[in-house]
Amino acid sequence: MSEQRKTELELSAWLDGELDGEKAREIEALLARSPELSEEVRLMRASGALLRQEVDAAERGLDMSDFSSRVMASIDSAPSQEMSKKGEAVSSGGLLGKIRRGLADLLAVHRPAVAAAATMLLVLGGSSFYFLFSNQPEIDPASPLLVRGGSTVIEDLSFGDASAVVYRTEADVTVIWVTED
Amino acid sequence: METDERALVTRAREGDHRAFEALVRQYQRRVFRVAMGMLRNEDDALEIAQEAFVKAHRNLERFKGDSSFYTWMHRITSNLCIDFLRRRRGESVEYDDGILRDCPEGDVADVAPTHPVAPVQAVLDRELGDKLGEALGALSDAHRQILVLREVEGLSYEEIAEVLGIKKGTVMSRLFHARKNMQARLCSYLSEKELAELTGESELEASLPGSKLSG
Repeated sequence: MSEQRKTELELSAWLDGELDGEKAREIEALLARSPELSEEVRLMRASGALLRQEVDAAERGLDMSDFSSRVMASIDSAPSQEMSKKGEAVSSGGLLGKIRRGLADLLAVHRPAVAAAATMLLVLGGSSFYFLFSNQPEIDPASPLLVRGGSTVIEDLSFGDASAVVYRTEADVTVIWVTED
Repeated sequence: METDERALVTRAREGDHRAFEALVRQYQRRVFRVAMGMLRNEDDALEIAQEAFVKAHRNLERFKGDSSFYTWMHRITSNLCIDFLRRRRGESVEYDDGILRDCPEGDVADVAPTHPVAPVQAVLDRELGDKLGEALGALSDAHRQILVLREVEGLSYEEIAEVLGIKKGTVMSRLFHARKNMQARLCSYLSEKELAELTGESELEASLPGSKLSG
């Protein structure tokens, strides 16, 4: 690296307050006797100030009073969106297509439990599948009987050619089990 | 990490929505500022800010607390902004959680520059806004990102290194190149009067190391 480039790099670091002690004093002495370097510092400051001014002005006029509510609403609705996407991927015209509407209603009812869960899994097996919402990573999605054991049926619905059962396990795992009739 | 913040993160990871909402309120403006600096469009910045928090919530399990929550949020936000800019330019964006991605090391001055973006006319004087838009638009995404983290958010080199997953020496070098690129364009645009206004000593002396000259 050339001496000039090294000096410019240090100038930039000095501007950010990242140089201390002797090195900072060297740069300051250099600036005091070099109009060219001083001009360079001015331009560096100008570009930063310009960017900052713009963002400051945008933020000043910004009403973020309902921002956190919108974020939380978006988080709450995320599982059902995710489910819809996965359903599409599995079978857009089959079982999932027929019952998507019913599932959406189901999720609306059980949203608090579902939204609080960190994990959602879609497990397929034969003509049935289930969605599992859980904060318990140790739950084995391949062992549905394990999930069903010790659970309480809180919804049992039928729509069209399919039925769906919502279970809540003792470990506070919510399972929506869907079966084609 | 501050104790309060750590407690909020712990509760949020356990599924406490009120705790996560408190984190959102605490950092929403900072996240917006990063997005605004990168995108220069208020609506886009708000959209990305919201997406950043949703993504953070979805990935809370992966946040180990080695860095502060806001450092983590900066990382998510600036990566989402880069994805957004790429999409706007019609480049393909591979699926990525936008959190653990590393930025390339070393000088990125040769990375293709972004296209100019529409300036926020209501915010700055129109002409000055145009000049800034042209200068920023000519920067690579990585240069714009580092400039925003430093100039808008005021992060230290150490914090920037943590956010971008690069070495401190790379921060110094990348920031320098970003400034040189901005400088090259702005110096031909800015009048002496504008320069004097932007670098007004009364405002800057208090906050920048330049004050050491007189101290």
